Amino acid sequence: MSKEYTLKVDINHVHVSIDLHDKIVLIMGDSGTGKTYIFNMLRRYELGGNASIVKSNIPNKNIVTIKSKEDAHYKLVTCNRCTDDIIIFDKTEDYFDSKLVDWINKHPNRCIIMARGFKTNGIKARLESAKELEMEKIGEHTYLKTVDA
Amino acid sequence: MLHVYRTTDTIANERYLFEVDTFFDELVEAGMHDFLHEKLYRNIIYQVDGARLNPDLSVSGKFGLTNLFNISSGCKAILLAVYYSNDRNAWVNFNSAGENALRLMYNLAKHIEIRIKYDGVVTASNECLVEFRGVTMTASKCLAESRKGIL
Repeated sequence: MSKEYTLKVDINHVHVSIDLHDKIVLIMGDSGTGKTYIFNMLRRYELGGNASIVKSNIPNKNIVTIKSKEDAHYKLVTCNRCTDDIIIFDKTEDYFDSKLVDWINKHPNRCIIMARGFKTNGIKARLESAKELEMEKIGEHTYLKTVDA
Repeated sequence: MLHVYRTTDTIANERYLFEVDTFFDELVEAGMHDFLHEKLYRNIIYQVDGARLNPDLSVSGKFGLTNLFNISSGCKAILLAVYYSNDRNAWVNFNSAGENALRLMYNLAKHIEIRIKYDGVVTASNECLVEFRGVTMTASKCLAESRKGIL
């Protein structure tokens, strides 16, 4: 089993903790549970946001966010040149195809996939890699963490 | 009634709202958001996201005080589908909607025309009629045909 890594994101009063036990993590669940909210936080960070809001115990990891075919085309070409990025996919139903699934399965980068089900067929992930987001509110702070689906 | 369109189907003169987030956000940015204050739309935001739309268009919910751009994709899809229910050429991409959003949408489709692009299995109750490739059927028949791979 690979070493356990954690990705933490803090912005305003929202605190997110994603366990990256495996190379691929599928985050599933109902609408309104925070999947796209987390993705948008990481996208802002990727585009030059506050570096202190994202922490991980994974050394030298860049954050790459993908939510369209165009993103996948331009950014994954770059990712192909390195092996230490964390790639977050959202809206996978709109652009995932067998070619992209094959790339994810074979490439050593860690991937977080905000999944709603059918278009992620073919992803080689353990059953334990399927997660949901558990929310806890303490005062004005919201805590989101991944739990087994 | 629920009208379902699959990826492989073609619809003449359609307006396909594929990128739901982008389309919704642009609608709001263009100032076309007054309809969201109506009770039906406020209830949708509350039922899907557990959030309340404030008079100044801020949203109070699970992530604190935020804005309409941060509501979920499933919520935006339902809001658009209801908003365009009288437009026979507008189809909303529902592939990113979660199960809770789909259940609410099936419930709404019992009373209004909802047109969606959806590649998953339709699991509406029998009180919801489903139109698929020009054929109207009960939801249970639609589910049976979907499972056989016919639809």
